Amino acid sequence: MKPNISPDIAERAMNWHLELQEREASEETLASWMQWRQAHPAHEHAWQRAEAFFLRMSEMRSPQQRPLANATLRPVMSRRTAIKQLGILFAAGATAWSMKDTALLQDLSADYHTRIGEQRRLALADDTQVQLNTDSAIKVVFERQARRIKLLRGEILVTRDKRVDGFPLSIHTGEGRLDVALARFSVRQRAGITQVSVYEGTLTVSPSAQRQALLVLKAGEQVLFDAHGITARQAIALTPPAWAQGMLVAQGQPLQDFLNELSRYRRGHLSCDPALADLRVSGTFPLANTERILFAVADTLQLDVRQFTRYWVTLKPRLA
Amino acid sequence: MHPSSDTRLCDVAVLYRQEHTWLQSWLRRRLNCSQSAADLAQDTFMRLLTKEQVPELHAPRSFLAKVAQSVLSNHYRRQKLERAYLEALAAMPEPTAPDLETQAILLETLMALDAALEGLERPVRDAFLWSQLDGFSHAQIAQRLDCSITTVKRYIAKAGALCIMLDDSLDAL
Repeated sequence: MKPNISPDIAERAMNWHLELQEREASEETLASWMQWRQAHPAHEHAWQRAEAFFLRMSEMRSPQQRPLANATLRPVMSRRTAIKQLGILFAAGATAWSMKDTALLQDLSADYHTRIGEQRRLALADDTQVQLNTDSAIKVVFERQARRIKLLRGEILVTRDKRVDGFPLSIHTGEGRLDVALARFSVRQRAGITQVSVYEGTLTVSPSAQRQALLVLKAGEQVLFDAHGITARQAIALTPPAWAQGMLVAQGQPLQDFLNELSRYRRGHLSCDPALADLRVSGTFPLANTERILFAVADTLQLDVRQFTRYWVTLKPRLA
Repeated sequence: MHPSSDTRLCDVAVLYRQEHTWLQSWLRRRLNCSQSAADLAQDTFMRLLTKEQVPELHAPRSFLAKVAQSVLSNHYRRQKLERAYLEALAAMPEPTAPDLETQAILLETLMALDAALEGLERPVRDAFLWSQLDGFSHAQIAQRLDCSITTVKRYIAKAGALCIMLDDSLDAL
């Protein structure tokens, strides 16, 4: 068991978090923040908890959780008022949370895309919710009895719950198709391969060169498939991916993989000295500022960030 | 004088042997439920074990009753919170309710938050909830509370600090 956190260290960790949320945290601030974290294991411990805490709080603001949190943490309201207001709160919460990017789309066929570092939420005409991750593009075709989404590039999180109109939806990627009635899942188009992760419900996978071999995928499963079939299969958590909450999460991830992942969210070339590729990265980072993530990771691992231009960045061992 | 942790364990063990039955029936009289009484008696002794120091006991039963009283009010508080939670859940349109795993984490988090926020002054609690539950900006909260943004941040940091101190489950993430 880890030791308890003292009140002043806990408060300091909170203050750091608030300070780093400010739009323009200076290099000095970032440096002294890293210094503080490294000064004592208890500081780092408190910081990790603060990060986990704020992540939980942001989940709590989601439309699914907020009404429940409101009703339980605000006992000043009488129970009857609380219940009366719940519907209103829920509506308000949902709008506030789904943000400016939401558009209710009536088009029968339309293309949507995000640029690098951008995310977007859509509600399709049948109430299917689609969230596009960075650098993604889809084509949506709604016909009388067919709902199709073609994933042209990138990654999407799709939520189809009981509100949708009952027609099945199919997702088409370079390697095959998915068919789904009700489910929550994400699909990522990688080079020559499709990655599918299911968080709720079930769906079927049909690789394009293997039409008769249908595979049923259940909640908590992730597969990679190419045109000929499944190439990898593993269990995953039932929670939606961190990116959908605007976060990047690493748990002991090799630096090279971490940088590849981070590269998806920022323009330009990002790499590290080959000797550093296996250093491990852990942390929860807000995707809103990739520059800050880069410097935070470099500082934790004691590396130098070499920027030849703004778009060519390499991590090197720190010079003594 | 600080008793070493060994003597403390020993004291609690003796107390447990001598007064466990008495404490359980004391709790049963208040709860009308022997199952919960057994659980809460256990909680009471757990609390003694984790206490910084157990005072020298001249009147062990009244001391135990005092600790048990606080365990008991904590229990009622959790029960009340759980009821409010379930009522809110029942009032939600079904497809929008979170899945069971999320719910389990949420309920635990809410209990931890509630315990952490319990003793805080009203403006500190309000500032924290407006910021973390409603997503209001510091400036908006400052306006509502009629205080400076610095004060708002201090309030949020204070409440948040209590939460991360009290909630061990954050380490598991």
